[in-house]
Amino acid sequence: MTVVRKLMLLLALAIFLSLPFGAAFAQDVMDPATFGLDASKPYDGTHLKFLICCSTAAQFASAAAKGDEEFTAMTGISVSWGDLPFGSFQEQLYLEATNPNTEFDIVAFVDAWGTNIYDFLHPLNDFVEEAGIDWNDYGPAYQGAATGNSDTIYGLPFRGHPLLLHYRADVLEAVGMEPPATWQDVSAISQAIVDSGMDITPIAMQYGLNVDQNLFNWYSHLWGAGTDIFDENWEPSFNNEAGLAATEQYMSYLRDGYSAEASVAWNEQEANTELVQGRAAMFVGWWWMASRMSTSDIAEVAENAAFAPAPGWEGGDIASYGYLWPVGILKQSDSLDAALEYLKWLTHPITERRIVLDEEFVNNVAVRLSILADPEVNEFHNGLLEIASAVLANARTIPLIPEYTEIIPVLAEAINELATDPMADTQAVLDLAAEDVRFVMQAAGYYD
Amino acid sequence: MRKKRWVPWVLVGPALLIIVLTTIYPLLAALYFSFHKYKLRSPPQFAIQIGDGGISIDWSLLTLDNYALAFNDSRFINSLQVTFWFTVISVALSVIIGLGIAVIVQKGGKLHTLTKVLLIFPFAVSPALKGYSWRFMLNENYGIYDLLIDSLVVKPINFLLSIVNALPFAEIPLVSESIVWLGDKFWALFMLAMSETWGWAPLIALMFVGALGSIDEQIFEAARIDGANRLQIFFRVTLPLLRPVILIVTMLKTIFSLKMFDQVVTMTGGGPVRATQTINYYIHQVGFVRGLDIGYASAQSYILVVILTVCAVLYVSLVLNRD
Repeated sequence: MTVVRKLMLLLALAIFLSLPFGAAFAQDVMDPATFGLDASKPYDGTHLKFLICCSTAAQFASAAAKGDEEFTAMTGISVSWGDLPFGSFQEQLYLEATNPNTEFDIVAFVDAWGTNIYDFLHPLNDFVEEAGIDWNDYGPAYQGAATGNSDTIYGLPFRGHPLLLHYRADVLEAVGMEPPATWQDVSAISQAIVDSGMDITPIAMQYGLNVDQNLFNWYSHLWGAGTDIFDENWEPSFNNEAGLAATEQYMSYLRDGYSAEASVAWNEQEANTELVQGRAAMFVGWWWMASRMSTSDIAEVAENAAFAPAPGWEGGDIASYGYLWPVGILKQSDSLDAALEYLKWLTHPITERRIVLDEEFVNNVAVRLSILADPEVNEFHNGLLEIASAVLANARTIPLIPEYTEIIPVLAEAINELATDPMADTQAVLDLAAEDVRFVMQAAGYYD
Repeated sequence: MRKKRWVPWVLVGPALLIIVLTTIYPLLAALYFSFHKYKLRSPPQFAIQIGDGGISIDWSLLTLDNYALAFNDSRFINSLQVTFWFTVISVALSVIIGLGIAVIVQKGGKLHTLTKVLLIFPFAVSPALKGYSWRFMLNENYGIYDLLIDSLVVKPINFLLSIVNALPFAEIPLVSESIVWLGDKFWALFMLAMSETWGWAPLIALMFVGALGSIDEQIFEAARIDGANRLQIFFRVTLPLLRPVILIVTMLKTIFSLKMFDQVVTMTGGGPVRATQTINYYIHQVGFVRGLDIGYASAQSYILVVILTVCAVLYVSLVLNRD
């Protein structure tokens, strides 16, 4: 027997042996029982509308494609995803959620926005219990964000982001420094980069006003320094001594020249672009942006892309914002049971795992602790999910009260004012913002 | 034959119905909402209630609180100021630049005709896209406008200043080459107005080209015979004759400037701080993004309507008196 024949026989044998396993795997994800779906297709022909933005994002595109192919085949339920631009998503969400005649059944929402539509969302506590969903598979920050820190589950965690430090390994190596564990380390490393004379900005920050993204890292500073937006009596506390120290540290990257002057107008995408295009050495932002750096067209950036947990506070807490998009069902939906079937499938660990391992739509966003700890998933994403898991262990939520959407612009404007006016007195600006915040809370009856 | 009176009503009926549904109803509804505490996140309680017993009115639910709040809201007052300055800058720039373009391209010839055709394109660009484009083009690292301004304006000025500074005792500071256009309160508002001018000036130019073409050439000929030079002809003949068109264009542009919204969202986000928060932007934030306070947003809208009405009446009467 020639060598070629032997090889062909071996190949045929291998294909033959692999068939049952392949079929079994295919059967798993096409078997309603795998996801706890009703095999009798009681909702056959039902069409669901899902209000969400940015459906071309890899995670969403992967889920939508799999839904069309697999979920619909198993249940007969078809689902159409909205594709709003992020900029108009919040407004559309509110208008649809409060519309008694809305055509939408399912909605995804940013945690802070959800507070305004809780009354319009179907509580999911019973569903979670009946469907056997492991609620403890979500970290405390995500549980808090999905419930508004109450006992009612308004949505299931669907898309969640911890804050990571994105950095250039070669730059830090050149100055002989380890990745910063604290914000104070960030300053020290930044100074070392400046002193080294390297033609690169130490850190790209986002102090601009667009979509209030200048608050994300400020929260980490506040919490790290030991204070919060409110004290236990809902009085503003971000302007106390710790808040002042946190804010001074947060503004120091700009004032000390570590972040470019233009960062006073940057949003997170623009700040991240500085890193991706090789003009900055560090950036602290959501983990979904990690692939932008590791796939940068600039080889020097892509080859030296490295990630670490977001910094904490020297001698203080390590805490950052765990940003969640839960997915819930509107009370107005005429197809509640079909929508629940869809949530079962969409948020199932098998679906989540397959999405995060999808080679066609590369995406690292997962929310379940079991997926974040999954060795195969971590190998696929170079350990990124383990880093995220460490961050999420200390992650927190912002105040989940309806009034907070009115307070966010007050805080974002204060930060922006401190950034754009070098002569601004930090304490005075914070005090003024605190007065405005108090006004909102007073009007809402918090101090009666 | 007897004229059928109902025929005109049937013909205009569909159009009237659409106007009532899309304009009159929202206007009246907004006025009604403005006298109520009405936030989207909770079921509204309106004064007029329709029940089994017919229509009843609960007067206690009507309130002027929303109007009172507006006059104590520093953000609302700020938005009025921002809108005023935005309107002044954008109207002035659009009309002056539009007129300048019109004077240049009004002559005949294929090149001028092609230019006139191309002039309509900036106006055709959607306002939201305009905002994104301008934000991108003003980026200090890869923005073409930033590069142009630095190369054509800042560097030549600094070159001249450095020559002056070479003189004894001369110490004039150089112009910064790193102005963060959207990070400075004045420049952000100015650039927002420029983005608007970029779209409007060419359209206004086309309107002026039409007006210039309708002026009898004999008038210019007579002025030349009387010894007037080009500048005198422009300021003493052309401009006065264009006055009706300038008035129309200014009014049209003012109305559109007061409605500025899209570019604020995509270009500046209302910042820096509150420097570009126009009224429409702020009302939208209050009603649909932040407090979901439809009652308060409606009241703000009606205050704007009153201010606009007063301005329009004053403006028109002033113009008519002058005529």
